Amino acid sequence: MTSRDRKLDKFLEAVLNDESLPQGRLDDPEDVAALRAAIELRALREGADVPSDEFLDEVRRRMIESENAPAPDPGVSRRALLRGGIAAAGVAAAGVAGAALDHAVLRPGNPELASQSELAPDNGEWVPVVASSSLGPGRVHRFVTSGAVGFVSEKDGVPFAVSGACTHLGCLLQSNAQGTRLDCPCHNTAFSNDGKVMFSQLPTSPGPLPRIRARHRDGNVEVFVPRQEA
Amino acid sequence: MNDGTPGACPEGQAEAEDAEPAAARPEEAASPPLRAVDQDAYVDWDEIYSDNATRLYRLMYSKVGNRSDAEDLTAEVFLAALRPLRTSASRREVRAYLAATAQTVLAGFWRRRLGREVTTIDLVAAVRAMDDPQPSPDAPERAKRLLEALPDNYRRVLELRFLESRSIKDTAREMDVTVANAKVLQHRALRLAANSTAGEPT
Repeated sequence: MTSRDRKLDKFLEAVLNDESLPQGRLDDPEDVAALRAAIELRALREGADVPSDEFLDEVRRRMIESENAPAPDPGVSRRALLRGGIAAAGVAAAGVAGAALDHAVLRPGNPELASQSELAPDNGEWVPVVASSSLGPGRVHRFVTSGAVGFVSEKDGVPFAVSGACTHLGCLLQSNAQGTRLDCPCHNTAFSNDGKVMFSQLPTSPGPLPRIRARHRDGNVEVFVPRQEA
Repeated sequence: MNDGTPGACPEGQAEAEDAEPAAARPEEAASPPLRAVDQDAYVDWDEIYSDNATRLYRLMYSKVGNRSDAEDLTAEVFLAALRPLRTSASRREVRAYLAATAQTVLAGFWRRRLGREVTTIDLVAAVRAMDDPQPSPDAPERAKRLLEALPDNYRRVLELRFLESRSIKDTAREMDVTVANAKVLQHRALRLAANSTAGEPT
């Protein structure tokens, strides 16, 4: 058995023994795919994915304890808490794409709710996403990096980029056919290319899209996004 | 017919529309607003939990393949969602919120554990699976297809080990090979299975 096999075996054994996966690294994409296949196979077993009553009761008990703890701000209405929660989920989902956003700007009652935040990762890098010549009036370009997804267009003659995840629940936005709007596929909500909410079916309008820094460099448009992990 | 000008609607036509019998608008007759509201709301957190805990656990299990991590992640999602999400939200909002939270929680888990995301949660598919009262996630279907496509000895080693939970010794004996060979066979089979489904959504 090769050392590569032994590495993979450690994870497979955990899956086979129904144990927590160990900390470690899998470098080969084939091995990552093999582990994924192993996980899928285990989930195929009859009754494998049914939670135990003990576990369900335990989480229920912890939730009751947690709910009885003092609320962070008793003055905030239930509806406002709901709004804040959903906005936070949008942030959380954006976090998957590596966006390090400030939760505070989306907290209910915060006067900055409607202002546009900037996606400014602690550990970021400039990544070229499109040739500068491809930008121009009425043109919008979608980009995906390892840490973010977004749209870049031109505003007042300079490149302007925004996050491509809806601030409501994090669904990935799509540019409409005319390139004039970023539509959310989940709920009837649309943003302008510079991130402002154009319309929304939601009772409370979601926040504007976080801005991503963009610049022209060496004939390309570059965006400042979370650095790719080695 | 009006003249096509927005807002121009001759008196007579407006009256004709008002007089239209209700039966001609089945979409209104079929869903009385009160019933829809009742069905759409949860009574309290306990109901949210009872209705969604098993669905969420299944989703997590299909993404990590073991009970221990699936339990931890499911608990993490509910405890994270409890405070911000209030019960006045609609069922759909609650499930969308839980799915979005689950997506983030799973991504964080993989980054901490392996430094890369082995599996991910697709929000649209997750909400669809959670809306379905009898969830049948796509993953098992894929796993079935993935086994059927394999050569006999590869399929057999995966069946014995992953579906029947047989030990490696048992598996080797059953297949009449050495333990070392059984392990190699198992790895090759998984890699081949993974290749044959490459490009499918996870």
